[in-house]
This record gives sequence, structure tokens and C-alpha cells, in this order.
Amino acid sequence: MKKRHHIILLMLCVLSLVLLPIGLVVGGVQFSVHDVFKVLCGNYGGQNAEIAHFIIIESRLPALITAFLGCAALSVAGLIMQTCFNNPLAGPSIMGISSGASLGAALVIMLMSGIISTWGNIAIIIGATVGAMIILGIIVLFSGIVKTSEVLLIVGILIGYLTNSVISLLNFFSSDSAVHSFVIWGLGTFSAVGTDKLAIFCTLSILMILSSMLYAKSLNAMLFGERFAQNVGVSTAKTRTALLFIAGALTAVVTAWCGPIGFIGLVVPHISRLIMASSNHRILLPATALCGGLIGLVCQIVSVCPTFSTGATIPINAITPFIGVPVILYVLIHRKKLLYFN
Amino acid sequence: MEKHSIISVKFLAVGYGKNIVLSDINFSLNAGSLSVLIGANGSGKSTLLRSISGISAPIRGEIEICGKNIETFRRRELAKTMAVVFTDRNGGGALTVSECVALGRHPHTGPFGRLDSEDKDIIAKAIDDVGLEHKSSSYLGALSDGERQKAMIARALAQQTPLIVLDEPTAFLDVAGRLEIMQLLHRLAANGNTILLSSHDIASAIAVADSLLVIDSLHHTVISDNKDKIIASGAMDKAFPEANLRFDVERGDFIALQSYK
Repeated sequence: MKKRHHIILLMLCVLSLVLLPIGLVVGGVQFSVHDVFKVLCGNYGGQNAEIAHFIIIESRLPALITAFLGCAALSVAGLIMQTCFNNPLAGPSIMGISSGASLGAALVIMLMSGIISTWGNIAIIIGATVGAMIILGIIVLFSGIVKTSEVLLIVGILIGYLTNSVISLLNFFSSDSAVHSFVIWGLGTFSAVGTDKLAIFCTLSILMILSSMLYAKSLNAMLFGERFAQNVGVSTAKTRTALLFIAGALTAVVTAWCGPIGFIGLVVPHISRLIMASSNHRILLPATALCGGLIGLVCQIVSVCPTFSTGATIPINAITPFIGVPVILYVLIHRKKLLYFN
Repeated sequence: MEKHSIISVKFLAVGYGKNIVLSDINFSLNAGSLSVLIGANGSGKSTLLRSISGISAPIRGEIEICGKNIETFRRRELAKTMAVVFTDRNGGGALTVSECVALGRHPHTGPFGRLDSEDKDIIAKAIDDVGLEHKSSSYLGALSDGERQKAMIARALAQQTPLIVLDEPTAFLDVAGRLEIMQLLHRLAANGNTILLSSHDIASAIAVADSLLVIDSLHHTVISDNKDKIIASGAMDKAFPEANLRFDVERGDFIALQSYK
């Protein structure tokens, strides 16, 4: 890693640390930076101490941490998939894993006819995880049968179509309130992980992001295709299965808690390749995680901005395309000039 | 002094599934030799190289590398015994030359791929050997086709294997590039590397080869021997039996039997 790479990684960390307090200040109920600091230190007195504690510690902070880790997880999942499938347009949603999670969640929501209690929330999370893991299992099974990455990607897309049409059928036969609840979940939010679930969410996502770093060496060899990787000693079938499992599990955890968040997994790996000017996964994996986290924080802050006046938040999936589409268009238009495509 | 054989192939049959493309293949290559595999398109060159490089299992017969059957090698052990340079040109464009060559150390390093000073010396020497030292910090995607091929050969050298196999290493190069790569391979063989390559560029391949492996398209087998013996025996003509060609010993290349006006 060169000095330049260290500086960029440090800058990404600093920017995230700057955005964190901004995120704690921005929202429907207004606090000054000074108040936020007091609440964090436990020195905030006055009548509204409990409310302030709830809003800042139990609502805004978990949402920001979820946004950071959730987007970091999706971005790392996207990077792994793009390298494994040797396809710059691969991402967690294209392989049908997000759809699998959606189907699991839809089934649970429809079964409960849209009335979602605390237990219902947990059931949705379990449903989404099971759905994502089933699709992942099918993909892993296919990865043993089909030898080329391209065919496997097409299999993922087909499975995605199939699960989406099952979801449409479910919607058709469901009550209006169930469809409404499912639509809300599908819009994406980082606010659903409260303090109670935060510890497990953090542990799972951090552990899996760190385990992906163990494969940096093999991912670099896989840049030159499967035969090349085999020739330098990578057990490609085993490695690919392990990497797909990590990518799938990262997607499942995030989708279960936050809904299917689009574009992040597809776009952030490109942004980090562009800013780091490298395909080296030793550099790219941490850069992608940090860059994804930073974009997650931006999305979360933008989503709560209108609450100043209306009290409503913008769905995350209404924000991500504004970041994602310009980047993908830039990448597609400049494809020939971008070194990492050559 | 008798040189020991690095690769020895006995009664080998290769193909796809149960379809045999070439059979009864017997040859052995000595340490420090440069051998060239010659054959028409679709005659089974790549199929044979796939089996030799351990990508697909042979249908019959056996391939021994350094005295050991190829099928008994573990992936990592095979990676320390044979480096293969493929024709694919895509991928890794935003890796620098030294990052790419460092991939050759993959089978020699631990799970994190940390390079010690010895690894770094080996990488620097490999880059030096192919004459790319001035480009070691350049991106692969910014290199010319010839330079990129040299970087891939340097990667194979950094792998420090007794055998290097190259599938059409000059396929995308112009005349100057082809000659340069062939001379480089000749020099590497003279330094003790054992090299097997397939090539369409018969003239420049023959100029540097020690031994030839000619695919006899009529009998679906491989004729192999010392270069001079192969040429003297007329075996070269068996590579393209149906074409209107004849191997010209003087020119060291194929010429058309019928001249065009």
C-alpha cells in the first residue's frame, strides 16, 4: 500500500467522524451540537433529558451506525461479487439474494396481514434471512454445476426474476394493509435496528467484513480469471464458494434489517477503484468498506433532512439512485479509458 | 552429461469428455530446454496444454512432472512446479506491474500474502529478467500488448517453477514484439528454465526452439524430437496435411506450394 492510499483511507475515516455528529444534530427535534455532546456524556439535565436521551442515543445513533455498517457490508458484498463473477455490473441484488430476502419478508408480512408487532419485526428479519440463505444455497449449488462465472450470474438474474414474480403473486392475493407494510419495508430504512438489535447487527457485519479481508490475496489472483487463479495455487471452487457465502450473508443481514437497499453494492466498489486508482484488493477492501460507510451516513442524513418541516423521512432507496446512476453512467461511458477494465 | 527430464508424457490421450482428440502421445522435455508445440487451428494444441497444465484430466496415459504424476499434485504444490501463461488479455488493468508479478509468489506466501524481503528480491529480479524494470510502477492496463505479455512472463518467473508453459505467447503481438518475446524465452531457457510453448509463429519459434512437438493432424497424435531431427524427417509437413503448404528447410517456415500471381 502506498502513502497516497493511506492518506485517502485516513481521509475517509475523518470524513465519517465528521458526519457522525452532524447526523446526531440533524432531525425533526432540534438539538445544538453542545446539547448532543452533553447527552452523549450523560450530563444533559432539564425536563426533556429522557426524551433527548431516547432521540439521540436510542434512535439517531443506532440509525447512523446501521447506515455506516449496512452500506459498508453491501459495498464489500458488491466488490466480492464483481471480482468473483469478473463482471463490473454484478452486485448483491443482481444475484437474486436481495430478492430472496424480500420474498422471505413478504411471506411473513402477508401471513401477518400487515399488522406488525415487535415479534412481527423479528419474524420479518428471520423470514428475510431464511429467504436470502435459500437463494444463496441455490446459487452455491449452481456454482458447483456451472463452471463459468457468466452463466452463474445469469442463473442469479433468473432466480431474481422468479422470486420477484412470486412476490407479485403474493401481493395480488394479500390484503391492502399487508401490501402497504411490505411496500414500506421495501423502501429501505436504517432506523429499524434499535439499540436492542444493534450489538448483533454490528458483530455480524464487522466479523464478515473482516473475514472478507482474509481473501484479498485470492481475490487479486481471481482478477485474471479462474484458470490464472488456479495456476497460482488458488482452490477456485472452494474459495469462490466461501466468498459467495460471505457476500450472501452480508447482503442477508443488511436486507433483513434495512430492506432491500439498491445501488450501494453495485456502485461503491467503482467509486473506491476510481479514488484509490487500484484493483488491488488489499487496498480496495478497506477502501470499499469505508467509502460505503461514508455514503451510508450521507444517505441517512439526507433522508432525515425534510423532517425539519414535515416530520417525514425520505426512503433510502429514493436517495441511492441519485448517487448510483451518475457513477454507473460515468463508468460505462469512460469504460475504455478506465484502467481497471483493461 | 545427461540432462534430467522435467516433464515426461507416456501413452497420453487427451480430449473433451470421452472424445479423444489426440492419443498415443509420448515425449519428455529436459531441464533448460525450450520446446515448441506446433499444429493447425483446432488440431488439439490447447487441449493438450490444458491437460499438461493440470486444468483437465487426461483420458488415458500419464503426465509426470519432476517424476511425479500430475494427478497426485495438490493445487499449491502444482503451482510451485509449473507456471502457465495464458493468452487472455483482460483483467487486472489497475494493478501495477510489480503487484501483478507479486501474484507469482502466491503459492509461496502465507494466507495474508505478506511479502518478505526475499519475495521482494525475487519479484524485482523477475521484472529485471524480462526487461520491464522501468515500468514496474506502471499499471498493466497502460502497457502495450508486448509489455503486458512480458509482465505475465515475469509473474511466471516469480513463481519459481521448474516448468513454464505458455499458450500462444505471441498471439497478439506484431513482428517486433514476437521476436522480442521469443528471444526473451530463449534467454530464460539458457538460464535454466524449462519452457514449453505453443505458437502459430513457426519461423520465430523454430529459430529459438531446442525441440519440437508437431501435431500430426492425420493420425491425431504428436511427433516430438530434437528440432533438427524433426525438420530432417519431414515431420513438419504433417502439421498442415490438408493445406497447400510445404515446410521449407532453408527458410525455416512454411511456403505455399502454388505461387499466387
